Amino acid sequence: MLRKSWPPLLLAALVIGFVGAAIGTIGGPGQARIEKNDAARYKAMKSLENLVHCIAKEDGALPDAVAQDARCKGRRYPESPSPAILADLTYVKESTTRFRICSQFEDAASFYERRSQPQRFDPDSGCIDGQIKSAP
Amino acid sequence: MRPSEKLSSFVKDALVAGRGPEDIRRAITEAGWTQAEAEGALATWANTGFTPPVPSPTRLVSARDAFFYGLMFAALLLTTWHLNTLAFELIEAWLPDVDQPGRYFSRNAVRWSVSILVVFAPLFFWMNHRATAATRSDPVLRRSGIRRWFGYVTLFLASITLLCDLVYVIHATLSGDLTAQVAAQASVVAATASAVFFYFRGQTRETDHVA
Repeated sequence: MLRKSWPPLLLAALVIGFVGAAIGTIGGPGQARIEKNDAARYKAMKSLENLVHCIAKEDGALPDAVAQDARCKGRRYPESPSPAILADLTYVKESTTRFRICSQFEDAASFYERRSQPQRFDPDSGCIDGQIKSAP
Repeated sequence: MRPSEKLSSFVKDALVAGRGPEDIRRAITEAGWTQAEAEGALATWANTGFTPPVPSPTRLVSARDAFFYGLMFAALLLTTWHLNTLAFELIEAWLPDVDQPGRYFSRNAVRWSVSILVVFAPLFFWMNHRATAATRSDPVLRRSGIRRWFGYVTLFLASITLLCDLVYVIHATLSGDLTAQVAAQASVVAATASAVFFYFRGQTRETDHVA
């Protein structure tokens, strides 16, 4: 009996084992929501960074605060269906040429690994450090 | 009339004339037919000694079987494919390749595979259980031509997978690429394909035995 039934039993054991291991490795729906929110935070940070570069190019200097600028067509202030994600977003002018954009990541270290360690993103602080060329 | 039908008709006439299977087989092969053709023609009539000879049971082909075994085959295909996809992704996470540090497993692929396995694996096991129970209680169902075809197609795919897996392992060994990751992935493919192969080998043997 067992001799005849081992193939489907082995297949069932592999399915149950790997599905259980998958849930244990990647987490459930809660972890998936964290990943989605962190991806949206990073996207918003990159949009804001592009807008800062555009405004700096137009003005010849870094802005003190960032808002949508009519001169920067196609580079919009970040939009997100979740207001909390935009509320977490901060822009800090650190010097005449350097700025920092940060957000409150829920799992920045995991995001950093998943995205193959994106350049200029610091997983410890959840910030992107930006720089423009010196003003003439 | 096709040649096989002519041969079958000859066998019937010979049985009516009181000739035994050995005489008929000899007469057919001496006329130039192959041994397999002689066996095939003899198998179309039941060797009961009754005259006129009784036709052997023929394979059944029904739309219901096409639906049932088609769905079961699709469920098995999706289960085995996504079981291996899931295993490959998890093994990449557990045993990362030191030569490719940038490669990170896809969480989305893992979620898709889990979703598909949660639906199709129970469906396959439930249909398999139903098919086994049905053929046990009514052996005539084993004569289903569609069941036999799906069984042999699955056997063929499992055999090809096992052979390709072996080729891949040999190539990886000769190329110096047989890492723990490659060995683990090849083992999962071998285990899955072996389970499918031995399951369907048993099933096709039962079918051939009844036929």
